[in-house]
Amino acid sequence: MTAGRWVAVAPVLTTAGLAIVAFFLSLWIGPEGWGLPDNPAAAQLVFTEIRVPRAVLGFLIGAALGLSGAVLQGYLRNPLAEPGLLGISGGAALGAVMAIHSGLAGRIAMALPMAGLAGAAAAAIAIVALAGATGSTTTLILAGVAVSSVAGALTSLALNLSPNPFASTEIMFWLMGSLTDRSLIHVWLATPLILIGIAMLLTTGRDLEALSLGEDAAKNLGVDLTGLRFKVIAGSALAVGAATAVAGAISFIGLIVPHVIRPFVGHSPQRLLLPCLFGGAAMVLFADVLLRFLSPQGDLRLGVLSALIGAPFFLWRVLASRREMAP
Amino acid sequence: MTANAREVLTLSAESIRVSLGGRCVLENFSTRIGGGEFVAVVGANGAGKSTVLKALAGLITPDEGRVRLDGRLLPDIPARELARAVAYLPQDRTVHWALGASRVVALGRLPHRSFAAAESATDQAAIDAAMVRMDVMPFAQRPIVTLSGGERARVLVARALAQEARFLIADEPTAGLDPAHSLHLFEEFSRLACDGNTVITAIHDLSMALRYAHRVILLSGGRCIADGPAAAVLNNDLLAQAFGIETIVTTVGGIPIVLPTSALT
Repeated sequence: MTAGRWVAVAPVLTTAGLAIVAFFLSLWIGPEGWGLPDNPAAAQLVFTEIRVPRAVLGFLIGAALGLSGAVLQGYLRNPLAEPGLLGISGGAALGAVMAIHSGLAGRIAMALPMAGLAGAAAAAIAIVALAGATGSTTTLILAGVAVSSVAGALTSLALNLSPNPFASTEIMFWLMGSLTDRSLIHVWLATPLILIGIAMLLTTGRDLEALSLGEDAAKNLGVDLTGLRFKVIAGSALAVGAATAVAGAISFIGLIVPHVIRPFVGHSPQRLLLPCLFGGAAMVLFADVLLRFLSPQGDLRLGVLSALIGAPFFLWRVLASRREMAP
Repeated sequence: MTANAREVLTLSAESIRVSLGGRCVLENFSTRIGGGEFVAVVGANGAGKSTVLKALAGLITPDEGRVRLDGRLLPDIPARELARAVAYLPQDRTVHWALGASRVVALGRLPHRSFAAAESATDQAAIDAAMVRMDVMPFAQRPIVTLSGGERARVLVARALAQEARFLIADEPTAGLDPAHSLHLFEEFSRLACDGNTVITAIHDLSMALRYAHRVILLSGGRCIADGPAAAVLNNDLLAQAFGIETIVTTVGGIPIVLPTSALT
């Protein structure tokens, strides 16, 4: 049994190690290179006002996206599921965009993330209203697609009708996702919600493992399907909604991370969860550190970079699975 | 108070009616099963076999009537307690991820483990015993997607055995099994019944039903048309009524055989 234990623990330790390394790199590296400014007062300011919020948010947002992706793939038994599928990130983005569009974000600093949270909550309520508290996973996917389509259309409308070119540029940049210029207030706002969401998602492991055999067998093994559905939707809404509200849309993390890790945990939906939490955190933090080298002025956005890294990774997985599943 | 270790559990349906998508698929169905019986549920496609099994396992709630386990209504029994009493093996053999075979069998122990607890020695013993019984040890470590249909079916039966429930409800467990493994599976089911467990299985192989089952429930068009000892139910008249076939029921070398000869039109 020790070998079996090791199979379960090794991926957790590896990804946690990577996430810790990435976290310290994020604290240590700035757009000017290694370390902090020589002036102690400036160093203190840069560290607490810029580096710490960015590293903490990077960790939590990556963890939320990676874990939510793993849980949704397990729950929907679909390897193409990702946090955006439920329409929650679309709702959060729409809320934030409306705050920018209305000019509210310019007047009140916290209006933007608060509007993002409101958008995420509205999307989650709409999904539950459409798909019901019980019911098939297909209905849930359809409801998610419907909600994200509506949110996407309204976001485009806001962009289309933006009062001036400056506002539309601001909306575009925000939609691309970023961790720059986030303050400690953003950290205080997002952290509790993300942590509650993560805690809910982490309790689903056993039920997801049983669902590998289908809903009837899972129910026969004692899984409460209604409770599971609530934990999946509410946990994702809290974690991903809060993440998107403060950082914008950071694509591909929730899709790629479970795919990369799955072969290392024997394809078990339960053993996938913790490594995806840390793996997501590591991937967002590494991408954000890389960004400071590639684009010290901050004009390259994190969401764009994560997609640029993620897409080839995904292509490689597609080719690998074609070789494994060769007919 | 000393509970009798061999206390007989019974699973009973009282005039249940089930409709799916607005269509009535099972009507006025009653039965009482327990005490080491091996029951075969037999009937044509769409006769309601799977519905009977799912209702007895508590997976679907009847529109009318009730299902009880040892006198208690199924909805009143906590999910995990019910899972330890009744194991259900679905007809659908899809396993959604490339899990290792032994990991699939281990899922049968979920109702016995408290939240987040690791597998105990008892769990491991039950898993190993189930795997040996279903002859799946040789591919214990292989991902389930690389197994053949019959091998996968045996792994899934082992999962249900590992659950160590007093009731085993299996929906067409022999479909896709080679003759040797079908015989072996029914021998296993007989042994479970001899040990005091109750086996309820839907099956299309009438000879196997006649040979192994103590009792046959014959369904036709969502109604029970016969329920009794296998030899009494599987006769030419009732089979003609249920399946629209002419049959020869005989014994060869002491083994009963039901041979469909022609379809009645």
